[in-house]
Amino acid sequence: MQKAILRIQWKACWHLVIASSVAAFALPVVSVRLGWYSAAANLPLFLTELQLWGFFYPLLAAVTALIIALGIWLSDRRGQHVYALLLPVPRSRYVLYRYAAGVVLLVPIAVALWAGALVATSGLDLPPGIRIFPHALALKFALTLLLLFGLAFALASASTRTIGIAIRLVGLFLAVHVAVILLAPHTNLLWMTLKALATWPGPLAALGGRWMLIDA
Amino acid sequence: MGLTLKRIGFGALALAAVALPLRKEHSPGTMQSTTTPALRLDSLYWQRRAAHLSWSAFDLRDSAMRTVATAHAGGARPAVAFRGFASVTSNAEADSIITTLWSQIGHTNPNVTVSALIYNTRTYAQPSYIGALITRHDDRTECVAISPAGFERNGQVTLWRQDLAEALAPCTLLAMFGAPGTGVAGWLSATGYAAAQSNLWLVPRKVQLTRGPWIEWDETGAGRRWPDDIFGWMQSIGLFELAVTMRPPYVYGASGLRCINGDQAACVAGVLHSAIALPAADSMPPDVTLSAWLTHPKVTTVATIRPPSPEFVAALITEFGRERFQKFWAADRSFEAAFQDAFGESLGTWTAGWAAREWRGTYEAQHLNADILLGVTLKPSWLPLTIGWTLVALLVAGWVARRRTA
Amino acid sequence: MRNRPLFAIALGMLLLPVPGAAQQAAAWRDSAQRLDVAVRALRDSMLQGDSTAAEVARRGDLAIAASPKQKTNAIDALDRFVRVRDRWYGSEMPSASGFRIVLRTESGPRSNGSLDSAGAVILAGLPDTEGAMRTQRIVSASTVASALIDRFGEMMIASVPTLSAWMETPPPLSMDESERRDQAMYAFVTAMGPIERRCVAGDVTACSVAMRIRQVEGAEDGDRYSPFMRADLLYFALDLGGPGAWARLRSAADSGVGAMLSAAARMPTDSVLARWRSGLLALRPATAVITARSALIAITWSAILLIGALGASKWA
Repeated sequence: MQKAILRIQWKACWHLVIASSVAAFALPVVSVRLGWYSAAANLPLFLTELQLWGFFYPLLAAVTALIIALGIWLSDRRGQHVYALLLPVPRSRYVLYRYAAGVVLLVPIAVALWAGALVATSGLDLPPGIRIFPHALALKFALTLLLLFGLAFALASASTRTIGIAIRLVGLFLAVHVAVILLAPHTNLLWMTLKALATWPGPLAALGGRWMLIDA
Repeated sequence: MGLTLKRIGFGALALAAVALPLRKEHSPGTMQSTTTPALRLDSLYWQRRAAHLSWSAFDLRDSAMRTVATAHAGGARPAVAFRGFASVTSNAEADSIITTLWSQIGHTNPNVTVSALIYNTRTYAQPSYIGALITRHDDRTECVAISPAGFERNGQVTLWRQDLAEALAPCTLLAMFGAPGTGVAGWLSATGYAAAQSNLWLVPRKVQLTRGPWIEWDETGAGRRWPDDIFGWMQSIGLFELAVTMRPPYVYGASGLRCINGDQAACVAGVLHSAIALPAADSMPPDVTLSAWLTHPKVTTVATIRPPSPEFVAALITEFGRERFQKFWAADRSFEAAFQDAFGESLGTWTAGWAAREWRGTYEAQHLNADILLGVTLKPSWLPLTIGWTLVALLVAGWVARRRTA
Repeated sequence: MRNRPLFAIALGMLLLPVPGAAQQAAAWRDSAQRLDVAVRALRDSMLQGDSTAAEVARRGDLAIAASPKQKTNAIDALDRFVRVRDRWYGSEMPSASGFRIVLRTESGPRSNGSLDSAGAVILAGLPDTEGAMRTQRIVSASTVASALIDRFGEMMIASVPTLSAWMETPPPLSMDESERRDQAMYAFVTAMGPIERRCVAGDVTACSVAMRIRQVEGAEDGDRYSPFMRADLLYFALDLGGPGAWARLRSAADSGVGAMLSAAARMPTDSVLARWRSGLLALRPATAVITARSALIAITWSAILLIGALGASKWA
């Protein structure tokens, strides 16, 4: 059953996996090679630019996680989950199969980023004292991808009605936030929520910190 | 067919998104002036500045040597000589600084003679030497603090308190603790006393902000350049400035940053093997102290090891007390061995703690960003975090699936 | 002197010429003097301007020359310069011999590496003779007008040494006046030192101490307004005094900063400070955080978002 689901998911999402892998491979290469020619002239500036490139890693992880998760559930959604409901397996196990197959699809993307990081830093004439972090970067990306894929997977598995309710709840929260901040400028509910999500034990904590392929 | 086309289209879009940044129409502009006369003027300014510094250093050294002759060994307080001021024999500010310092020192070493030479800054008309002349003959040590002052129209001498205090700093150490032992003496000579130019062990600082643990040396690349054009939109919304604010203080160098993060080997390298470049003997007298900006190497990058701040030695005395510091100061052993012996902990351990405390006391750490994150941030707690939230997500998905009906 | 023989030997040794060091000092002195001459010569030649620059416009005693690519820029800059100079300094100049400002323009960060904006703009305050005050800078083409105005402002301040020592850093002459006043107001009301707080509370003596016009024993070193605030006070005094304010200020140059401000504004220093203080306080936002309008906007948007959140179909 697992292999069958994996095969189906590959057929549905191979183009997404390829595209994401290409992007994951290219990101570290572009981030380093674009500015390296003049890094000797101003290393702190090059490192600051690299820090800005670091914003793209969690962004790529988020986009990849979302499109893969959506791609995984797309066929079920189209068929109103009839096929899934007909399968002779418990539904929770079916969900696990889907999830595991999705994780397998993420592997080439994480490996592509790792390869890209290694290629980007190979042959560089690094000044003494400057270090490269291709393995740590790949590991952080893989962790973030896994985390965001889980969240996107749960979101994508929900029904349209549920997603609609969730969006409305977000809208309601924004309405309350706007009203509160206009009346009491020092109270920023949105900022407080984002901070709670982005610091431990919030789900977005792993996206924080630095994503520096080359650093001191 | 339609689906295949969509997929190909999507793939093309992804490739374009990747390939676009690789397109380079031009090289980024440079900020550096491109006019030859301006470059030549810059170069002449630097040469002139260096020449004035060397001139003032040698000239003042001669004057300082003459001052030594009139000083009294182990006296209650240093004598003050003036040069370039007609009929000026005393200055209340100078007396006040010396009185404050010497009252804190108490009993001075009988083999050390300290005096001060205050010169008219107009003599050299350019940035001129500030520091101390330190000479040794047998067991006698002479230290002359050399500091500038201005001359007002009403005949008043305007002294810059901070300059005199910093010039006197090595002398106060010698007056209190005597001549250093071989390990410390070698280190002080090799660094031009750069880390021993603070009197904070005698007069605590008034403000709570610290200077930072390492000397801040900027990059001396071939030329500055503008950020790559790809970040133009980031500049326009202030994201680039945010990145500059959040980045680690690269002026401390890689070694300095790692020391602040607890790398003890980096701390030892910073104290004992910094890239201080002592000027050649024909451009600066070998027996004068040097500030960190006079020992700036010609080429400085992030990899250049910065020396500790001028308050390093003062911090040792403040933390461990005069008695233990005396033991360290006078030991005829290597610097590290003397350190371990006197203070009971290794140089790396103490320096790592000191560097972290000094960093946390700076304006940047207190008001901008206290964390020094290098490389890729990976915390062990993120693995259970990932597993935890993944389980939550799976539970949610499973619950949704179980509730689903046809 | 317990050890006379030793002392005599030491004194003798030390008083003997130290040939090596003395020779080195002399050699470096000669080198420094040669370099001084070289720097002056090069600066003078650069201050002559650019051989491609030709005069493009005149306004009274001001003439502006520019290289061909900077011609339009130069004319616009001159017009703006004249307006600002007339506003604050009338027809005054930093010296009787005039002045010269040489700006070399270069390519900026977004010019794609081309040199389209490279050139020179030279503004001369006639007669621009031997004793004229001169300065030169390298700027980007888009900032020529501001650069001319700011350099002129620096020269005017530098021409009055007492004022220059009081100001410490050059004043922001090209800055928009309302923006300058707003920033000064913000700095004024948010300053935390005790003397500054007393000034805000209405103690004019405290204001003069905080502005370094008056010295008081025991005042904390850091308890002073910044040079930016002093610039604001200077321009306020010039504004109060109207035409001829700068000339009056310069005539009182030997009497101290307070007398200069008083001469410029044609009123006692304390009156100038009192008016300056109340002028800044009057710039504070008067409106309350919550007004009827903002409350209505908040309620309206909340209602719109709420309806969207609940789903319009429910109301259909």
